[in-house]
Amino acid sequence: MAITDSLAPRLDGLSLHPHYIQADHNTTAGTNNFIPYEKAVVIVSAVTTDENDFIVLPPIADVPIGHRVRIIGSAGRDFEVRTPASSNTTINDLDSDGSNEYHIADREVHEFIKRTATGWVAFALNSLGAQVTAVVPDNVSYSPSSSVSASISPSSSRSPSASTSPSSSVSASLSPSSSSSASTSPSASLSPSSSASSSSSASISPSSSLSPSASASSSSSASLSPSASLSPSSSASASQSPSASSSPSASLSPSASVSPSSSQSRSLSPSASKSPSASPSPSA
Amino acid sequence: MGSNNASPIIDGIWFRPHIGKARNDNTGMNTDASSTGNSIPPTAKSISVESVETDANDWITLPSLADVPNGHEFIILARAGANFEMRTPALSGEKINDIDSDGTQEYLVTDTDTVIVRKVNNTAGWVAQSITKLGAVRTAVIPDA
Repeated sequence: MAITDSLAPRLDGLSLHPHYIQADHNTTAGTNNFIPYEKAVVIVSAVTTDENDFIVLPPIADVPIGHRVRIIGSAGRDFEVRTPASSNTTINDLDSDGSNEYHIADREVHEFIKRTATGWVAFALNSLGAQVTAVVPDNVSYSPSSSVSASISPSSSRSPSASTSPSSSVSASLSPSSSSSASTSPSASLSPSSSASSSSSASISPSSSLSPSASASSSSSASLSPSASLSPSSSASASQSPSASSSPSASLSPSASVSPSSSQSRSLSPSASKSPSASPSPSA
Repeated sequence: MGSNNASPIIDGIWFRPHIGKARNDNTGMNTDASSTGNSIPPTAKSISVESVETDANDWITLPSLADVPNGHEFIILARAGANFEMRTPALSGEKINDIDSDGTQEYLVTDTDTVIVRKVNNTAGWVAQSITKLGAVRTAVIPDA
């Protein structure tokens, strides 16, 4: 083996066997909805009943600080994540041992990291590769809804004019930024320009505005004018306010999920869902 | 570990955290609970910064880019009870988020954040992303003076 130091091996590759589990209502450790402490990649392949089913993270004392678990929603349904019953272990700083739960939408990829002796921090990408707005564990039961709720985050940038270039409003800003909002509306984009993107919340906006034409949804970064934007990645915009923003607040709005609806947008943005209606953009 | 040598396929993996302390010099950190260094060794994958020596101007130092492969990634858990800075080695000219961060400028790490750091290459340097304790991705941090 080309490994000279067993405690810090240098490898060409490393594959992790995925561990398949099913979301359920079991609260007894060891059953099929509990993640064994040694697993690092977990695929949730089904739910037993509905979106209120859950999986359970390993006891936090059983893993080292910094331990990471990747959970992939592949159940065809949303589901919840809990910490062991009565453990008072938190996810994103909220007790999630049953009173609250962390929601995972189908097809999302979530990363959990043991941040302290009593809590995990978790964040995710949706199926389009966009950063999911911070998930706030809550006690809201799932209630199907077809609403397409368009989320509206602070910054709207609406490019009025209709240019033809399918470009991607790469947004003005120069500074590096994270916001990876991926818009999916089909049609071609409108002027690349605009996106005055005033927002400061950049990176946290859910933005995934998955609803075509969902219009108003202007996630923080950039040009989401309904018609606009192109393919997913486009407006990956870098919009970013100079204020390197340190305030977690900005985009965090703990107000989570306005509509736990099944629709993609479980939008957590403060001004969330200002009604699906929203006016269609001037274009297209 | 699997039998396929340098590309093992395994069920899971754990990394022992390196324990660090932000300070105003450069001292190596290790995995001992008593470790008080601030320089991250190239092999570290998980770093827990548990204190600062003086204040939020103290720093931790990333490994030299030349010592790690492109794509190398590690996480930093900010548990110092105070903010601190993150630098590249002195006089290295190495960047974080495309800005020279060898001391003239530094990347601010906010207490309780989790920072994911990835090497792009020797020229572009590191890309770092901070995540708040609430699970939100922080707006890109721009290293400054």
